[in-house]
Amino acid sequence: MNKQSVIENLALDLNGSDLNFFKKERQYGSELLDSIGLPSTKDEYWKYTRLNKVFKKEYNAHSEQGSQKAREAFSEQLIRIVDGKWQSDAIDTDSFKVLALDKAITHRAFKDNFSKVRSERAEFLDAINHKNFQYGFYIWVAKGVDAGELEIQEFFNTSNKHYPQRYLIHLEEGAKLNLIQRQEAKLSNQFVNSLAEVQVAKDAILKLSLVQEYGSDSNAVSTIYAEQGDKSIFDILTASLSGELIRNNLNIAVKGEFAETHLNGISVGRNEEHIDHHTIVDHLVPNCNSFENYKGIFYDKSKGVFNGKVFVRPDAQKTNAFQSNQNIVMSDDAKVYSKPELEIYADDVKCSHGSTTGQFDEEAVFYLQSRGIGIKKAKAMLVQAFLEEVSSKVENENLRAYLEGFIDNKLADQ
Amino acid sequence: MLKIKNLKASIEDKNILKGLNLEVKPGEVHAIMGPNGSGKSTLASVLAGREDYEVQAGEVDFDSKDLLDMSPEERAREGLFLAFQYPVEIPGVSNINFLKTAIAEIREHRGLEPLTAKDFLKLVKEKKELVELSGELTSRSVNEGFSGGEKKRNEIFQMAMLEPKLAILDETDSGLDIDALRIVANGVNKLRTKDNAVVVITHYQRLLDYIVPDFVHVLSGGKIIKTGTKELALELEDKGYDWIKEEAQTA
Amino acid sequence: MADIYTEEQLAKDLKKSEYKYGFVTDIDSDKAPKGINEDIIRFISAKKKEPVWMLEFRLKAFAAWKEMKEPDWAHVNYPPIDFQDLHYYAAPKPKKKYDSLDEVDPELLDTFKKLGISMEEQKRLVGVAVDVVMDSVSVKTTFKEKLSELGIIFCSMSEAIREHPELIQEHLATVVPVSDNYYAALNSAVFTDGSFCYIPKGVRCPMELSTYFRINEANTGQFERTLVVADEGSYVSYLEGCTAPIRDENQLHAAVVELKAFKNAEIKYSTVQNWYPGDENGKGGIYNFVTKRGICEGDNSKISWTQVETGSAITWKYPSCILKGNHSSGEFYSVAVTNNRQQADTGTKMIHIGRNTKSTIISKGISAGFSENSYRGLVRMGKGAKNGRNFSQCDSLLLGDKCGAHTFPYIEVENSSAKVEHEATTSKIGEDQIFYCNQRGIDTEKAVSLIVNGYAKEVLNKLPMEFAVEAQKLLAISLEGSVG
Repeated sequence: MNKQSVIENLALDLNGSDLNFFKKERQYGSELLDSIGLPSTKDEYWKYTRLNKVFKKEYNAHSEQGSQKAREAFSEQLIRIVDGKWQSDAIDTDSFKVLALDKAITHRAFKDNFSKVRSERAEFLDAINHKNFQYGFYIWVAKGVDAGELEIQEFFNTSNKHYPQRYLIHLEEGAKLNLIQRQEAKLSNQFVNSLAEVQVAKDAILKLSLVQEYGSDSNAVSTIYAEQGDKSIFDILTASLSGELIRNNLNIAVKGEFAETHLNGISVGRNEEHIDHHTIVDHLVPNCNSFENYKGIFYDKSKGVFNGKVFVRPDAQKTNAFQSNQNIVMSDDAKVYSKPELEIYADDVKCSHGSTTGQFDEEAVFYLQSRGIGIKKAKAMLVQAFLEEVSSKVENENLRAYLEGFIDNKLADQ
Repeated sequence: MLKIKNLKASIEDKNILKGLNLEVKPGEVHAIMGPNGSGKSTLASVLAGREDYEVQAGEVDFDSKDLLDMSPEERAREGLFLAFQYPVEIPGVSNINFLKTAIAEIREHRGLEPLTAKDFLKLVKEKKELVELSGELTSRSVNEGFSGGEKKRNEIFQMAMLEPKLAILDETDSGLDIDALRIVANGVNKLRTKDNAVVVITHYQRLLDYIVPDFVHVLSGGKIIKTGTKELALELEDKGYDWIKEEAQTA
Repeated sequence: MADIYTEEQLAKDLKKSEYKYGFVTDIDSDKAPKGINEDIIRFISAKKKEPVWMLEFRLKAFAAWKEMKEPDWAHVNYPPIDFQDLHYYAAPKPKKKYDSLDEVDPELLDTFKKLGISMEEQKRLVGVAVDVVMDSVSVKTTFKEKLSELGIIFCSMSEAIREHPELIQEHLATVVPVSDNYYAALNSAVFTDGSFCYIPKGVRCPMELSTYFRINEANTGQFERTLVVADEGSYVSYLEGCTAPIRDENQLHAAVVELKAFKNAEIKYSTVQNWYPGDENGKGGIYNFVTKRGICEGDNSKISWTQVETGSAITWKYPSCILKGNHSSGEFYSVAVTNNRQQADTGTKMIHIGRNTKSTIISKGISAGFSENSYRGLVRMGKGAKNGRNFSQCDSLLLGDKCGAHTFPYIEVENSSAKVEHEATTSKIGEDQIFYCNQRGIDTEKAVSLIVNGYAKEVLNKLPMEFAVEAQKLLAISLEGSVG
């Protein structure tokens, strides 16, 4: 596969409507692309996930608009965006802002924080995003403000299209926000390439629920770079419910002491879906805790990949880091690749990880059957119970019900 | 046996012991009582040799030797035993192995011949009866998975095995129900001889019904402000600590 | 018995003029010139009087090696090795002969004493002439007789190539193919010796093959090749290594060990290695790059690897099991200690191919000083590995805050009835635990030793008894000075 042709395929025509402010960013992306090669399975980072499918599709040709189905809101505060067009009013007050990128450039905090993250590894898709980003949003919560709950529904409604999406979430000291981010790309041959920067300042609390639903031949790669300050809390749930290929890269640098990081994931793989979660929690300073719990269930010929890295740097004494990855393989053609990793350079720490892959406890299935429950229903109940450990932590009732309903309904016929 | 003169100790720049004096003779049982934060646990830790605490002034004489000059293991080998308030777990190291090693070190220090395996096991069998400790527990890892009561009984079992000259019991009664309390106290009493001594640090008078003290000291504000007999303990039970503090202030 | 070409004879030969091989030989030298090329390989093969097929095997391996690239491992740093700067053939330096132990370096003797090694053993290891020569020869003879009565073959690799060519041709390089990895290829080209062991059908080897091995000259070649074949229904427990610190001027050790267990057979392979780890600054230590693999060829076969690694400047080894036979099982028990500036990147691979296979991994890493200790493991349940079971426990104990402990497990599951469970924890020895021991009269160094042994107990229990005791002491010694 030729790098240049891939770059061209993924390029977006900006129609001269680009802002000066972003030109530097796009230039940076172009320069990066000159020096990076295409991701390949020879690279440890992409070992189990092939991107050929994604690169081979033809974007920008024969695109068709889909008809947009309205989705019920989970939350009272809702912003709906369809193909980058805002269907709801933006929020623009002195204490809370949710703006489209082009409107955000007037805000000081946006200017100061946009594109500040430079990851250690130079990633091709990051670079594509730096160069082509167009869709996305900016969220800012002022010092000490509790912005409550917000839902952003993003619909990607054109087939054969590459959507480089960018967002920046910046919580000032002591700010609070509960964000539900729903992404849906249910048409044919769509590719959502997301890059996000998340800053959770001292004493701030950010809870993020990502709900990912893509079509059977649509793909998504979502990369988040997050930073945490002292005593902050960052809680993120990633629910990967459908899509031909979903790859989540979560990189969290815990820079402040006494911070807490919670990473949870639910993956449901069916047919030939491929779901890959890569997480990195980097403990740079002492006294922090991180908890990671990813659960996945894989049917048919689906494939699940989990790679969780926890770094504990030499100064990060008194770190507690726990990581768990549990997978259930429901068919002989399904595959799971799990690699929980620990790199520990400090000694006064408590770190552990566990990974189990297997099936349901046969005893449990039999017990349900012996109480008159048919085997299909019994397994459905057990799937529910399995994923419940993660789904029960969701605060928003509607979202929780949705996830539980999804599991029930969609998996009833498996 | 033990002479503490004007002991001043602090931890992390906080002064806790502010000139403590105490004398314990062989054959005696001393009780140290006091409100929370008065320095009871600090006293136990300083005597055992915990490095977190800084001794700023004072002397501690243990059988005419300078206790403060010795490392914690030296103090143990000289015959000092601390029954911890929160005994730590040491997974992978069996109780038996632990005690075997400790006894070997102590005997070597005292110029005694090491115990044969047979004699050692005989000793274990004998001593665990004292605190009704089951064989199952003795073969487990040190304190791993032990209940609160079991941990405290294990401390006294160790005390029985090591035969110290001076035993300091740091709130050994905390978290124990009546039955466990009775067993622990019984064990301690059976170990008393005219040559050894016990210092019981406690918050409540209850334990002292079973381990009857010769002297009761009240520790408050980092010093011993009153000394009496076992009746003093009962008075404290009745009236609390405030009246003593007032008395000390007016004095 | 055919004339076995020994290393000593080779040394003598080299001393003679070797013009036709193009060497310029210094009469006193006992090494082949540096570097590796076809000529030297031919020379080695000729001197060992190897059959043609063996020479061809070596040459093919050499050709393969030339095409390969030296591997680049994360977490292991070492200055580049100049392969043309090494001696590939050297008669072992005749051990300095002392008249008595009094002449030996007292520090070395002190270590022996701490390890509880008997006086006789010490003498042998150091090269003091053993008084009762008859004794060791007669013991050796008795064992050899007993083994041959049972049909057990246990001899050096060189001897096996000449005496049992059918067995070697059938099994050599079937578990670790020549092109498997860079160091395996190098080893296949230039290995000088090693051991071969064959246990016939239904035979249970009556002794730890270590016992026998220790009576032999502990020959530490840099490229050793070992092959153990356990035929149907047989059992063997093989122990290699020695707790005594072995210094060797050869820095690079790239051994290959192949194990084959047929139906209902069991091979227990234990290693206690204490190669010289280099000085406090890591200078001069040995690089231990070993490829060890076992294949459970037949149904119900079992292979277990047990190792205690405390030496080497750099250790790179992944004893593996390929579980091909149905109901076969693989085990890996390891304690790896790194101190000062050592680096270890070790682990295991359990490849489940047959049905109802089982594997157990218990890895205990202990890091101290400025060392880096990584566990890298692979558990793979292939499509056909129905009902495969794996349990892995990888723990790291950190002593001090300048060292690192890392865990990189790879778990690949490709069928729906397999179960893989992996757990890893990292911890340190608590100050409270040390103080508790102090208060019971145990000094800090001993307390650490007690706790470390408790930590490693699960693995040490798997070693043959005589070695378990020495291994315990070895752990204590290798951690000396690490706490404080």
